[in-house]
Amino acid sequence: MKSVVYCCLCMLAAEAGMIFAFLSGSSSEEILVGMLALFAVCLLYIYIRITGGRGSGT
Amino acid sequence: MNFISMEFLIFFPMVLVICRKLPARACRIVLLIASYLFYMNGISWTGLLLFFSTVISWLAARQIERTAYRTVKKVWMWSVCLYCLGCLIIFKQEHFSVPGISFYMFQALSYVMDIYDKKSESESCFNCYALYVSFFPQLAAGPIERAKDLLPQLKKPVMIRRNNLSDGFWLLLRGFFKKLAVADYLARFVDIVYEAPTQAGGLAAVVATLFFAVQIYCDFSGYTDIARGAARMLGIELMENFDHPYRAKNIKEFWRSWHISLTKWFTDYLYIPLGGSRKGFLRTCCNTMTVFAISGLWHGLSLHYLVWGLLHGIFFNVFHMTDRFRSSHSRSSNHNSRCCRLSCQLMARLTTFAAVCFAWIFFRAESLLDASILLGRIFFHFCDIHPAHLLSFFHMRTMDLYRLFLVFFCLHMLERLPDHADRAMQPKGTATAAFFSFCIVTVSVLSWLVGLAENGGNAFIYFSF
Repeated sequence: MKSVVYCCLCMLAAEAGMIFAFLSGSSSEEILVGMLALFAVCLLYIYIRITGGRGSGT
Repeated sequence: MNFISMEFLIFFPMVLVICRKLPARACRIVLLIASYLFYMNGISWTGLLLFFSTVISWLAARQIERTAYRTVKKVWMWSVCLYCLGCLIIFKQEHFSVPGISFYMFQALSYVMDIYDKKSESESCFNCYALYVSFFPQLAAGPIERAKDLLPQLKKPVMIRRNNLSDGFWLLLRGFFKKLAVADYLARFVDIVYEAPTQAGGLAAVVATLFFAVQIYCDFSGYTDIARGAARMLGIELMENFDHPYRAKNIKEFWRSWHISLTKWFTDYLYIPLGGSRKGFLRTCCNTMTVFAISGLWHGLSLHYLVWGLLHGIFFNVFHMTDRFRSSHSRSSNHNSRCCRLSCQLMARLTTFAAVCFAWIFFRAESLLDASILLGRIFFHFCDIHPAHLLSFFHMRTMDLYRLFLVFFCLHMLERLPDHADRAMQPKGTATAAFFSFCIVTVSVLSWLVGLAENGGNAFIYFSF
């Protein structure tokens, strides 16, 4: 339950960040780069959790 | 219909909902109708060609199985071969191209040849066979499935299960990211060089070719991921078409992991019937060259595709010729340190990648002349554009450098995750999966919008084959 709440908070924060960036005049490409950075962190988190930080061995 | 279109985003959920609501047996008819609608997309004669080819191959297979006379079987088999070849020659002309024709013709041909060789039995149900030829996720650009793998799955009642939906959705998202965020983004830099090769310096040509290597991989494997994901959501498992091809240590390994379904098709229905590697060294080399030349022409009836195929044939034969030397060398270097072995592996990977990229120049160029111009620029005018001016040549800003780095990083990480969502997301699966989906959907949609605003978007490269 706690992880679901964290997830919703993260999504809300990301959405708020995007809206704030849009309103403060950032281009769509800049918002995209921000989202890509967030996605990279998310992938890194999933990857570390799967492999336990040891690497996949592939 | 393109997977990257609003039509597909409406069409596919509708098919899923209808298949879920209808009784399992009726779903096959729905899928068949949906497949023809997906393929025709407003152009009815392409659907007629697909239907006509399906009828001819189905009838021929039935006749081959029924008749006891070897000559009659042979006449039917060769008639279908000639029909398919004729269609491919006519409908693969540059100005008269039918999307996906190479894929479904090869699928129908493999079915007839399997019946002829008594490797499988002919299908009595025409609807099932028609769905096998036209199943919409893999109709436009493969994977080229075999009847023995796909038909039994299509004959079972369609069952839409929850874990299939989540696994399929995971693959769909991965495919959309590869296509929209990576392939379409890199396409804009590749096009700058390949649409005006005389204006590009050698360094720019090398960078564009490296980008093209990633673009075509993400474009085609992205398509395959979407196709496999859509099929998996419908409860049907399609074969894997790519297995990290750029990690290959030699050209043989590369072809085992690049467009696997086509490589297997050519091996089973052309290379082995020609004699394979059983008739001496010279004949093996000839067979390899023939297969790669035809593989090149399969992509399009142009000289640059032929040269691309022949180049791969030459690489393959060089690999065979040096095989003995390399295996004795590897035996002697077994005692070397781990570091030495790793550096040898790295060198092998880089050499294979360089050879593949060299061949990509001929594949991507509009003509043989353009390819030779680009090679001239690479070898004789390498620094015509100073490295410091490379960014302005590609119209890149600082933001593009960040985007490039992040796109490559995300692609690298995504490729390391398993094919099944549950394996990737456990434990605490739901929350992670939701956040992952949110990120990847947002990135893909934003990339799509940015791409549409800049160049109107790109169709899948392999749709034109």
